[in-house]
Parts: sequence; structure tokens; C-alpha cells
Amino acid sequence: MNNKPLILVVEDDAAVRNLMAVTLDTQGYRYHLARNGAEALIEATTHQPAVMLLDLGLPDMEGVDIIRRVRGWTGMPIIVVSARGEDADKVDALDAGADDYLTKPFSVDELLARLRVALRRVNAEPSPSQEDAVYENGALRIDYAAGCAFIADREIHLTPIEYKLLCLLARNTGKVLTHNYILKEIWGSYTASDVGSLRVFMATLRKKLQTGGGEQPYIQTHVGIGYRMLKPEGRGEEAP
Amino acid sequence: MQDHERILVCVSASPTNADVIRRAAALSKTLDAELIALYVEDTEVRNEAQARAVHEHLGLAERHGAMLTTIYGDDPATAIAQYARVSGITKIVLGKSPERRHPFAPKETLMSRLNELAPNVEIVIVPNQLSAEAGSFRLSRLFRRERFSPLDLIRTALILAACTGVGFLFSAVGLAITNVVLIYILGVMAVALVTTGYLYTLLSSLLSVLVFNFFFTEPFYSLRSSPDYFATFAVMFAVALLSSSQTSRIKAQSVQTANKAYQTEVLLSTSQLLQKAEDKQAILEVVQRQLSRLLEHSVLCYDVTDGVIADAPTMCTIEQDGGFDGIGPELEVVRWVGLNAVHAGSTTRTFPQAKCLYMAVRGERTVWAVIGIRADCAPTIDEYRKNLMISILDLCALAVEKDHMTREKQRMEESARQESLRANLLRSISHDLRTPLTSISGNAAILMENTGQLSPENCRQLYASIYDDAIWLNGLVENLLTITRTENGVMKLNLQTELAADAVEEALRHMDRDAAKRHISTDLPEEMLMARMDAGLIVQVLVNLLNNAVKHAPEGSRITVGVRRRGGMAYLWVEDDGPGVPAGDEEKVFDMFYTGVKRGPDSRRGIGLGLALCKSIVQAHDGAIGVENIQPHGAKFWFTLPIAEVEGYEQ
Repeated sequence: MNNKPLILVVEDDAAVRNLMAVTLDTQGYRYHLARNGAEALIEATTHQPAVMLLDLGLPDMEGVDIIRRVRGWTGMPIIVVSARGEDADKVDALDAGADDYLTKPFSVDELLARLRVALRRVNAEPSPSQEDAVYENGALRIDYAAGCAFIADREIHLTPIEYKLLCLLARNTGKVLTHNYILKEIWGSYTASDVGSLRVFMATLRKKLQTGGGEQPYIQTHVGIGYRMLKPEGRGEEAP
Repeated sequence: MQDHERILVCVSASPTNADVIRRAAALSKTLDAELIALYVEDTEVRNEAQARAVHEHLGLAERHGAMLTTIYGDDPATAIAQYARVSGITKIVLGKSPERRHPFAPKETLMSRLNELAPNVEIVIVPNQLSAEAGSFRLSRLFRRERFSPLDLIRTALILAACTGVGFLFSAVGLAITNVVLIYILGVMAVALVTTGYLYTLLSSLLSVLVFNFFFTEPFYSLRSSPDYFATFAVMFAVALLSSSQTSRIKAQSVQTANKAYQTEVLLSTSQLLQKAEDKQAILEVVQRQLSRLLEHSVLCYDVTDGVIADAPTMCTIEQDGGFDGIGPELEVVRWVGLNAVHAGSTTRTFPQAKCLYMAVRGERTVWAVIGIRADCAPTIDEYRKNLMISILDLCALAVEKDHMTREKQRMEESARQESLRANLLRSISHDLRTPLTSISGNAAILMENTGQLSPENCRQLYASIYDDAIWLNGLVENLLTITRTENGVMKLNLQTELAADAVEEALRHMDRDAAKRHISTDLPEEMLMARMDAGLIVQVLVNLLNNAVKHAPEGSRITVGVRRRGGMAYLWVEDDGPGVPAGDEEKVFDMFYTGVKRGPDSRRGIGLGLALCKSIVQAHDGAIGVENIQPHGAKFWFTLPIAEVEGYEQ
């Protein structure tokens, strides 16, 4: 029975907490509930959950602070749940180290889909040595040693920057990377005009990956927030 | 009449005037009245001592908090009465002036005439304590008035010599002796024209009589003459003196007229420029420019907003003055002026060591700005220009005050408009929130109480209804949140460069569930079309337009959303093949609370918020929005956004 991953739900609103609990229960996940930031930190340290679902509007602490503290010692995926539609809050949380976000009201399907993405990431992670060789995601293959990328064994021609972007996204598969993060990683620093360039690079990169024939895009665009490399479900290895 | 008193005190060169001003100031303090110091400049020739006295008195009045005003007019009584009427003066303070003691005008004239001309104004007479000294003052003044000038003396001598020459010519030709007399009178008038002061006129009148006597009356070359000529001498002297003094007066008047014309011109052009100025900043700039042109000095201007004085002045530099930043200790003086609304700095008693003369632009109660006039590297400003300057500052204060009031009025109207909009909104919302909430709570209650008794199909319908209503409510809340981001009609945008196609794809993900029953297709361009946008808001516009299309087009209809480049703008549209927009309503659909044709009690919900919001969002992006009906049927909603060109993305 302990095979199922443990999910930590941090949510102050009883109704939403209940909704999440029921949802997780129906899918057979184990879960722990926390009603505020202090409980969340205790639960996170003592039970070491696989994934944390974190509400940003907690009564006692700023969600961003919790993320920073948790990030001090673990890389476990954090999915933030925010009632506010404001993109700035999400971007702050993502920059602080969150992996993904959900906006209230969210559908149960959406919640479960995000959870699966996060769990796949956990399962793929503990092998840094693997990264050095080859990255595989469905038909997409990146040969780090050779510095080439392939779709269905056909090499795709990328500019140096596009290749760097692809590698950055691949290394963080499943994680939403904010514009600022990407700009800092690729260009070192950035100005306002670079944001436009990033859009164009990402669009061309997406197009080049698309020509390979995949019906679902490898790279998701999160307008106003950033991008994410996705391992589409049913493609690539199934979670054990 | 007004509630508060306005006291007018007349400023003159009279030595008793200082006392009058002090008493007027005391009176204004007691009555908590506004004090206005009025100086009537007339054509009477003024000497330096008088000018200095007036200057001192004006300064004194100012130190007592009076507002200085100068008007022009030959008849002080009419001028004062007119001013009093126009500016709502309630009391006039006068001194029993020793001046204007004139055989034909009794000394009460001013007072009695004022009584006559301005019957509504109370006239307060301050008893004269200095009348004993007044006589001696007048006498000494007569002597002090004249200045010795060798040049004028030479001019006088030359003119008289010329007259004598002509006189000899006339007598040689044999013309009558009376012609020579006329020549001398002409000469004396010429002297009056070319010299200043009465001394030379008097001297030349006297000399011409003597010279005439010496050269042209028998016995010649002697001052002795027959008694017959005494009458001639007397008349000649009188005529010369009178006509020459008339000439002096005309001369003085012409200078005055020229000054007055110049002043009128300056004030008129200033007032014209002020009328064109659109805001306070522009007004201050105009005044700064006018003053620096008038005074040929650098003029600094410190803006005062809500009692806070700007840290740095706006400069208007005249080149020869060199650089001057107006910061440092000067700022203290500026603060003081701003606080006390009184002139200070160079040439005044307060902070005389300052490099500039600082004057407040003040209205009824507030100081709007502080003007600094660079006075250290140029001769101090004369009385005439100073008065003109004060007039310009008064004009400026009036203009700023008017501008301020207009703005205040606009602001209040705007806030009233916003308030009524908000009230309307709240009414519609509270009405429209209840309907879905009733449905949600009702459906949930049925499900709770009748578990097991409902058929699975019935249950599914109830669940779906709850879900749909909740989603609808969420859309409404989304729009309301955006409205709260709008303040005073201005939307705060978080502009970024985004791919227009990305926004379209994002919007499609956020559409209503009902959308599944329509065929939705996209028409996206090949090129990377980037636009400056607040992504969240533009996605919301698209979602609103898409949901609107879903709402109005029946099931099974086609909806297309597309992006193109058109006329330097990104052109986005949402098209359906539903019934289209009622003819004539193309503009109205974007009005708040427009809900289309009434369709009876079963009509679908909507408070007409979505499209109105779309319009304000697009307009905040400097774009346009519109709708047109398409053939054979259907509506095409479109909007434009400024394109953002990305340069050099390929290295």
C-alpha cells in the first residue's frame, strides 16, 4: 500500500481542502493535509512528501516564503494554487522555486494532470549522470555529447541559442520556467527588448519541433508567465 | 456683498502715507480682512525722492501682508472708485493728505469724490499727525527735485544764443521787435523740450527776458530800458514760463503714454499667451518667459504644489547672466517666500543677501509658485517695471487659479460619473449574481435531499447545471476584477511583447464548456506577429469575444478566431455564423449594460459587461475595436493592437 506517492495538500479553505482530499482519494494517492504555513513546514520536513500542493493565500505566511524555505533542503515539486488571477503572483512563486501553478477555480482533471506531470518529474530526476548522455522524450532526442537534437531520428537544425533553450527546457522537463529565468540562464542578463526576442526564439523552436509530426506540442506556452517542456502522457515511459 | 472684508489703502509719496498704511494694516488684522495696497500712477512728474517714498510705502504695505496693485489714471478718485467697484472693496483707508493743496481744489476733494463715485464703500479717514512737518517737506522737495546738469546748461545757453542770432537777423532785416519776442518764447519752449526739470525752463525764461532787454531794447547793450518795455518783459516771462511748463508736461505725458502703451501690450500678450496655456506648467513657463523678456534677467520658477515647493527651479536663462542653479542657501529663501507669500531676497529687507529677488505667485489663499529674479549682476529693476512685473504675476495667479478650478471641477464631474457608473454596476451585479446562485444552491439542495430517488439522468442534469453556473460566475468575477483595475477611467497595464498567436491559443483554453458544441477553427499567420500587450487582459478580451460568439451562435455553428497584420497593426478577429448584431447597434454593443434585444423571460443571462470591458482594454492598448455583420449571416468582432517589431533576434 505504501507504494503510492504521498501528496501534501496545504490549503486553508475547508471546502477546497476537502475537494482536493476527495479527488486524491479517488485516484488512490496518499495525502496529508495542512491548514497553514506552519503545519505545512512541519509536514514537509517530517513526512517528506513526493509533491506539495500549496495555496498562495495562507493566513499565517506568504506562499513565496514557504517555497523558499522548502527549497532550502529539497527539490520536491511544488504546485502552487492561487485564487488570484494576477500573473505577477504566479511568476513570483515560480521564480522562488515552484514548479507549476493552478488557478482557482480549477477542474479536477486539471489538478490530476498537473500532479502526474510533477510525479513523472520526481521519478525521472534522481540520476544526474543520465543527463550527461542523452535526453529522450517521445520522438524528441537530445544528444548532449554531440550537441544535436533529433525528432524521430531525423536531425533538426537549430541555431546555438535555440539549442541552448531546448537543453534548458529539457533539463527542467515538467517545470514551468518563467521568462526572467530563461533570459537569465541563456543571456546572462536581459533588457526589455530581449523579451520580444525570446518570444520569437521560442516560437521558431516550437515550430521546428512541430515539423516532426507530434500532435501535442513539446513546449507549452504560458502567456504572460513562461514556457514548459512537457513529457506528453502516453508518450515516453509510464510512471512505475 | 461678500462675507469677508476687503480693505483698500492708497499708496502715495506723502510722508503721512506710511502711517496710513500701518493703520490700514492694523484695521485689516482686527477685521480679519484682506488688505490691498493700491498705487495710482498719474502723469504728474515724479522725482527720485518721491519714487523712493512710493517704493518704501509699497514695501511697507507688502510687509504688512497687503496685496500690491498699481493702476494708471490721471484722476485718482475715478481710478480708485473704479478699482474698488470691480474688486469688491468694502473699505477704503485714506489719509488727510497735505498734498494736492490747490487753490481751485479743496483738499477734501478726493474723499468727497470717492463718496460720490463709490457710495457702497465705507471710507475711513486716518487723522494726519504730521501736517506740521508737511510744509517743510514740500519746500525741501522743490529744491531736491532739480539736479544740476552741465549738459542741460550748455543746451540752454546754445538755444538762447541761437535765438539772439535770429533776433539780430530779424532786426537787421527790419522786422518788428515783437517777432524777436516770439523767437525767444520759441527758444524757451525748445529748452523745456531738451532739458529735464523746471530749473532750466525758469532760467531760460529769465535769461531770455534779460538778453532781449540787453540786445534789442533801447538803450541797446544795457539792462536799462524804458518803462514801456516792462509790460512786454512781464508778459514775455509769463508766456515763456507757462508754455514751457506745458511743454514739459506734454513731454512727461508722452513718456507716460508710451510706457502705458508698452505695458498694455505686454499685459495683453501675456494674457493671450496665458489663455493658450493648457496647464499650470505651461502657465508658469509663459510667465517665466514674459518676465525674463521684460526684465532681461534670468527668471527662476519654483513650482508649488499643495504647499510643497519644488526642489529645483525651471530655468529661463539669459546668456549674459551666466550659469546659476538657484539651489543651496537660495532654497531657504524660496521656502520662506512660499510659506509667507511675501516677497523676499535681494533688494528687500528679508534675506537681502540672496542672489535673487523672490516673489510669490499667490491667489486668494494659496501660493502657486515662487518666481526668482536674478538681480545681482544687473541694475536693480525700476519702479515701472516692478509694477508691470507685479501685474504679470497677478495675471499668472489668476490664470493658475482658473486652471486649478477648472481641473477641480473636471475631477469632481469625473468622480461623480464614476460613482454613478459604480452604482449602476453594483445594482446590475447583485441582481445578476442571485440568479446563478439560486440555481446552484437549489440544485445542490435537491441533490442532497433526494439521494437515491433521482434517476441518473436527472442527477447528471443537475450536476451539469451547477457546474455551468459556477463557471459563468467565475467569468463574471474575472471581468469584475478587471474593472477594479481601472481607476478614473485609466487602466493599469503590464505591457510586454507577446506573440499574438500565443494569446489566441491561450484564450481557446479558457473558453466555456459550451464551446464544444461549436466548430472552432483558427486562422493564424505564418509570420511571427508580435504585439505590445498585457497578455492577461488581451486573453480576456478574446475569451469574452469567443464566449459572446458561443452565446449568440446556435449549436453546430462555426466560429473562427484569427490574427493578421493590417495597416501597421495586429488585427485580431472572432467570427461566427450566427444571427449577427441587430442593424444600428454596431456601436451600442460596446456600451456598458447593453444586453441586446430582449428575448422574453427565458433570455440568457448577461449584464452587458464583457464587450464594454473589451472596449476599454483595447483602448487602453491604443487599439481600436469594432463589429461588422458578415454575409450571409454572422458577426465579426475585431480589434487591433500596436505591433512590436523585434530586431536582430537572429545573431
